[in-house]
Amino acid sequence: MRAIVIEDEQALREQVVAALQGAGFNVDASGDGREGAWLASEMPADVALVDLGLPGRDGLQIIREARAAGRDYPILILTARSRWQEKVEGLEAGADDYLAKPFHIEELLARVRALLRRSGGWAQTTLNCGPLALDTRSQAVSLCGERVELTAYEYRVLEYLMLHAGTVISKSTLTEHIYAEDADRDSNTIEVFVRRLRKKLDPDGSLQPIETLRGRGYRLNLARG
Amino acid sequence: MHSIAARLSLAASLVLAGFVLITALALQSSVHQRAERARYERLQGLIYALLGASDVAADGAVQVVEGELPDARLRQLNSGLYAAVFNADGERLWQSPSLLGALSAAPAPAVGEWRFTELRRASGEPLLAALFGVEWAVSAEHSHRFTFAALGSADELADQLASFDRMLWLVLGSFSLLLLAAQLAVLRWGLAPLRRLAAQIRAIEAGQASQISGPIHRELRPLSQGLNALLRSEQAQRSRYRDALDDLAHSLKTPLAVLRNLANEHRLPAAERALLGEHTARMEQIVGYQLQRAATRGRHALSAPLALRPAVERLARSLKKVFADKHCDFAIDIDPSLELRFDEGDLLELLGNLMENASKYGRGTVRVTARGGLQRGDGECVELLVEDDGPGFSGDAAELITRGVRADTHSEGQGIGLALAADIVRSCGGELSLQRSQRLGGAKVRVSLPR
Repeated sequence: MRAIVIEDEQALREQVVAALQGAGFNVDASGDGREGAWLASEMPADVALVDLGLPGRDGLQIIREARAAGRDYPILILTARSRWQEKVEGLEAGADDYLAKPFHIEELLARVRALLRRSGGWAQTTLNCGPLALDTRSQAVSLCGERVELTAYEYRVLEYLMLHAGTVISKSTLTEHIYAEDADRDSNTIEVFVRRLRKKLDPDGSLQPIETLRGRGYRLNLARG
Repeated sequence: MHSIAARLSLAASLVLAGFVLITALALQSSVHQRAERARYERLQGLIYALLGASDVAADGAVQVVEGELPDARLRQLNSGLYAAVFNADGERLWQSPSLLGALSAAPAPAVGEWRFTELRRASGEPLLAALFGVEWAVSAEHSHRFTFAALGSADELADQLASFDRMLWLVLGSFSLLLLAAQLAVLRWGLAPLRRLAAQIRAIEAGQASQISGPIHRELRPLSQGLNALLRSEQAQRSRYRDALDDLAHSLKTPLAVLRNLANEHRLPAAERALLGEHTARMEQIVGYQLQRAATRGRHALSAPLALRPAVERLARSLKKVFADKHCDFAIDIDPSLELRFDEGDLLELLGNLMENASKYGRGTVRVTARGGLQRGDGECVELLVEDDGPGFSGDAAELITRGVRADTHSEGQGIGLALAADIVRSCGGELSLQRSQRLGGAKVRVSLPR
């Protein structure tokens, strides 16, 4: 998952970035409004956390520009101005949720996960596809009630495919959302992760959870339940 | 007396009445005196003519040649003009044919002296009398003493004067009325700029204007400029105040967020973490509540009327987004024309806190109802109800709205939200009470706000 964090207070930004990275996110962060606006409008992302009071450009403006640029990832507002007028303006500008400062890091992570689920069309914290269940809070995966052990990268690939279950995800999209920007982006490793996932989730080849569409990407084919 | 127009009208009317009264009295008295003097002068002339027409015999008998009498009325009975001659003893020696019957006793002026007085006929008719004392020499040694009298009816003069008086009062009265009407018209015209200024202030109150504009008369210019400056500085001060609080909020809350997250750092000893967490939580609560409270503007005399329904709909849309998992259903029953004189930020804050609690603690159904036109105390008020289908308020919820204490430590902000809502309601002189919703079974907050 890729997250964008735009927050001018360095200490808080570092805490938020560390927490998101700890939860398996690749994070692009900025403390400046103009740079933040560029990140929000240009960088691939699954979620953005935007502070409203920013130097250079107003957070509301950044949200409006990102939406005008066609970016539809969920946006969480972080604001010290916790008056409803600002919250409503932020939500009307295109944000999906707000979090008033100061906040618990756990609450921030819970809100971010909830936003990601919702943007994939999921209502519950546990994603169920056929016999497959993925708990976004504990990051635990089970098959027919049996726990399946996954590596961090395997989990990220599966979580992304399950969040977008039924949708074709290209290899390059997966690469963008799974790897940090400066990491070695070899799309062959995605094929390795998918192969390993198939082995762990479908050892006898009866379930066929992940379909390969030649030249287009992958699709999780289990029915959402 | 609270009206300038009434003051000026009253003063002008009193001055006018005094002026007219004094003028009338002075005029009346001078005219009466002159009329009386003219009358006596005429009687004097009559006496001179009478003297010319008289002849006295040696024995003192008086003869008047009636053909030479100066006024024909003297020959006509009861004509109102009379003449007579008395001797030294007051006996009537001669009288004009117009005079018949007794007369009250006439005083005898000294020789060569005039006396003007009033006599009465036997019929009671009052007469103005000019009396002249005469010594008539009939030979070198002998002379007789007479009093010549000329008399005119006093009623006649009184009638004339009365008709003059009537005329005088009529004319002066109508002039007074005309003057008064003119004065009122002048007053109206003169006070028109003040009325226009008052209308402009009402327009500002109603939110139709933000400044006093248009042609302003010189005398009122300092006032309108002062008011405009006051309005501008009030607006500027409000936004400065709000900005300062925003800055304060931002600069306090961000470091607090850092501290709070530090309290979760596992590298720190557990005891310190707990202490740090506890104290940052307290600071957060105080800072959050007091800053929000300070930013509350309350009901403002110069706030524009605000439609209630659009604000509720905006918040419902926002909350649907925030509580998307709950699929919140907002039932809004508010007349679109219902308006409140309220600061927009405060209204959103009040509704936002109440509707957020209803969305958070309910199971997804929120009902917002408002009715206007209710009488409470000295004015009209608007009643607002926010209901949900959640568990309702706990026993100590009433404490929430008085002290702003958190009722539910698991869910942050609930207590602060409700306490803030109560604070905003109080600041504008309204009332907030917690009830149980009959319709939905959960919490019901009832707010009444002055319109």
